[in-house]
Amino acid sequence: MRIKFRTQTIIKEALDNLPSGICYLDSKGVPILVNKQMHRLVFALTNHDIQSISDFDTIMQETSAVLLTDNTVWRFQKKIVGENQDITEITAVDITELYQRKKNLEESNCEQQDILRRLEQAGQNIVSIARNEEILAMKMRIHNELAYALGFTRQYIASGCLEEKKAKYLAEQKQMAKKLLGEINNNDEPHLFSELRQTAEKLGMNIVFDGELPEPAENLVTSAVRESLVNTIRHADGDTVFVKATLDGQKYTVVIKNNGKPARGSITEGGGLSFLRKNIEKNGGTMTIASAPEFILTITLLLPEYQEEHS
Amino acid sequence: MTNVLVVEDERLAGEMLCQYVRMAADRYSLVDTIKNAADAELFCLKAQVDLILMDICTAGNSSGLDAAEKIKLHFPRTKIIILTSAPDYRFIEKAIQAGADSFWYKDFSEEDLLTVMDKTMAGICVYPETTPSIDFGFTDSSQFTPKELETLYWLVKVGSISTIAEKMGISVDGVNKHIRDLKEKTGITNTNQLALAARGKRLILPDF
Repeated sequence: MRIKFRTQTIIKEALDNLPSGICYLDSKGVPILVNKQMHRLVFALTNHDIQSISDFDTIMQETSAVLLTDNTVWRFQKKIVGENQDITEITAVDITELYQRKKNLEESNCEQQDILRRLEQAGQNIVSIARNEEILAMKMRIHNELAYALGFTRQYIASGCLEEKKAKYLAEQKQMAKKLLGEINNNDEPHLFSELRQTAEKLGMNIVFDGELPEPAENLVTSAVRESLVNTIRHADGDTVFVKATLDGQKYTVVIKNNGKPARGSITEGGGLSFLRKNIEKNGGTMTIASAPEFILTITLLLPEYQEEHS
Repeated sequence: MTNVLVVEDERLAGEMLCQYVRMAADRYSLVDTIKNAADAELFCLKAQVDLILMDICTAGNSSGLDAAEKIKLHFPRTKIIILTSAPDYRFIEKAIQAGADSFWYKDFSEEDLLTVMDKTMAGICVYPETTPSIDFGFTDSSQFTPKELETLYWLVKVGSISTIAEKMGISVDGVNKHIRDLKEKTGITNTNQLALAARGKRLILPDF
């Protein structure tokens, strides 16, 4: 009897010396062995001593990792043990350091994502800067050559060229200067949609656009209208594409139809349409295609920044 | 008469290309000049286009290589000459894959464009043997190995070392070694600067 009591005391003392919390409960959920650390943890979390397994169910309800007021983090785990699988073992391990490292890693990942995003932006800018530098260099070369040419012509005319040739040379030089100086002052900014409209008109096609075209949506809408024009020519034998665009809060919806023949059967997305879908979905938008009773291409885009700027 | 469509978003370069076509008015006729490569398909559908002079980097970040591939699929008889002034190391290979008939560097090719146009129309494909070499830090781009160029490409495209390793099918240590070698060759000590330099010098233009 004394030996058994002594063994129990030794086991309890050994468990009390563990840095982790440990608790054994019987099949009814009543604690049969609890070490000091687990007592402390449960008291800190529930404001009372361990009474039954429901205390742990409350603690572990949402997450197995629990933050204490002393800023330590503990992971609780439940396991069924014993020969008859009727004993519940609950352990609590101090994971403060691990948790902190994970948090630091998450923060550092966020920072890294931010750096990558900024790098991508810088990359985009550097291409456009390099390109503009090249154009500027070319314009400067033209400017210099134009100045030389004008200088020589002036000298030639002044040094006694034939009267009848004078007017011709002057007109030619004026024409050239006008053209090149016009180029030098041109900023080469493309307007994608208006260019597509011009191209379509040149080719005997019409785009009827109803609604507004916000700048952030221009690229994708232009691609969608272009794809519709291609399909109208290729499959529907039509000559006009109708675009209806509506902006409702952040949601921008574009519905595209044409005056061609309706599709026979359902439409399979080929290279052009699937490429368009990929592009739209990459930008957080959606695309749907209806083939009956007529071909309708609908795209929706979210334009939060545009909405903020214009509200 | 060969009908020529010029695809070039930079006005002066476009004017130069039109001039080439006009210089040989006995055999070439200009259909139009457009700035966006993606619009070229519309011309092929509605007009007679026999030859396209196709720039790679065009308005709205539209790729001339993508447009060429699409056009070749539906109009295999339309000849396409890819034009660029960017020394991106992947462009020649991509032009071949897209099915382009010829390739001409605006700033580097020795043969003049009219000769390339004539040869192309005669069924002869004209491609440069190599991508022009450009100065890059202490060295020039011809000194980079194919693996180093591939690393540089993914560095510009995705940035993260672990993703690069995944994309290239090599270890993170392998990627870091290529980056170290690139730094040693160029004298550029910062990885981000390496990526920016590759993009700024147009050795790698990942959008095209």
